[in-house]
Amino acid sequence: MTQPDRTLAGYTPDMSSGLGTVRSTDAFAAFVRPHWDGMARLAHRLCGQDWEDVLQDALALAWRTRDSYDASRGTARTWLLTLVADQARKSRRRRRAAVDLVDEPSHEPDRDLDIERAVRSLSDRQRVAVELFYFLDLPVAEIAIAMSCSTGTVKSTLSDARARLRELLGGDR
Amino acid sequence: MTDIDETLRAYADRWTQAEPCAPDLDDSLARARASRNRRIWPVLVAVACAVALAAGLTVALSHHGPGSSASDANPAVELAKLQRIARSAATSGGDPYASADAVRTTWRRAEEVMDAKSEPNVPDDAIWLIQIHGSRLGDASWIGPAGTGPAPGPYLVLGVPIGRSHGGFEGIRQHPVDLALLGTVIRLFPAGTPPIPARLRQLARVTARQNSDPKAGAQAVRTDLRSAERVVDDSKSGEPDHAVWLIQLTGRFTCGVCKGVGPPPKGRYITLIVDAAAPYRTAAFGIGNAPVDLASLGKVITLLP
Repeated sequence: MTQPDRTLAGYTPDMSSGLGTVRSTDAFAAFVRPHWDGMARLAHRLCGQDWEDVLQDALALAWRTRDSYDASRGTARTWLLTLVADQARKSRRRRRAAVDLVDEPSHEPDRDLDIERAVRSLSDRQRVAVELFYFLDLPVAEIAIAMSCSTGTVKSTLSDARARLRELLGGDR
Repeated sequence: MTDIDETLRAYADRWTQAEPCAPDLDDSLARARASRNRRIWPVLVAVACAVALAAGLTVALSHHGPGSSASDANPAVELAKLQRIARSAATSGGDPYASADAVRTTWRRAEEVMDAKSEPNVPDDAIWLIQIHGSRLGDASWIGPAGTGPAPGPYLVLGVPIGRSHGGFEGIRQHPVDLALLGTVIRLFPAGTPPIPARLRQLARVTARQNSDPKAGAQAVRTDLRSAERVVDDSKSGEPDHAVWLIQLTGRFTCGVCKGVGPPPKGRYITLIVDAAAPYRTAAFGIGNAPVDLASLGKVITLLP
């Protein structure tokens, strides 16, 4: 059983009815705010240029479906990040044929560009696992909930992703 | 496995430092709610107009003058858009503590009140005139050579065309424009309510992690460079004075970014002086065992509990 979400700070969620009384805009904003940076980071990681649209779509979806949030099935962070990942996947499918521009990293550009390209070449599931684990600092247990799989599957997905990245980035890494 | 693991962690840290700020949540939420309500808008508009009329706001928000379009028919969307524009201008102008007001008018009327003159063939379109009131606005946003830009001032005025995404104007003023002469004035946000830049939290988080205490706490205060330098170590960098955030992390740190002979310095406090405007450059870094009295510089904000 997952612990009640502590991010609601002072608000006691009604576990039997999703967000319970988190119906007003202020309460919903307080519910989302601790995770907003993380949502933005994931959207930016997964979508590049379209990240703000994806973030906005995920927030709108969270607002529309807030009654479906079930704290017993995962934390608010996991739920919100899952919505971002879903919207990002839809966005990527829409613009699959478009050129995928890579933002120029500010440090060690050549090396970082290689890593960025390698990460982007991973399969959808491997990429989401890598983004959540390395860029969002999510524990494996939360990634498992977000990806609707077991912790063992997350570990093996991460392991496969690392093997693929090692192969792509060469033996010196 | 460790090699690629370390490569990814190091890259994630570097990427996080260069990451752009998240948009303002309140603005985004206003838009999310507006998009949800689009279908029932015809029903809600009557109620919204009645409520807004009572509050004295409807005149400006529901008036459809020249240049009106379907996109600005939704007051919630329009208001959120104006707030976002004003927030962005106040922050990039160098004072996120500024207040902002707006009024709906036309180019000609705005020019009359501002005593300004544009080209004679500019159409008399409808615009939102936004007035931001703060401290030394424009100082941080000038990107030309030092001393060649307009003098900073307490007022920043923006003209935002309605129904078009281009053709606006922006100007620093030493005296306010009397917006009330142009119509019903809408308060976009009051003074002293800066959104905490998401970048500050990220910076604090990354700094804590890089210096061996990922569970460190962090607080910040907005001040100017001279004051920050005075309370940190009474040094002077020689840089021109400008708005900064002074961040103090509390934990048990071993410097992970220090280079040199001998063991890396350790301490219970890390102080960072960070430019208050994007891209939030770190102007100074320090590690030691003596805390800085942030409260002596202003309102202290908790970044990491």
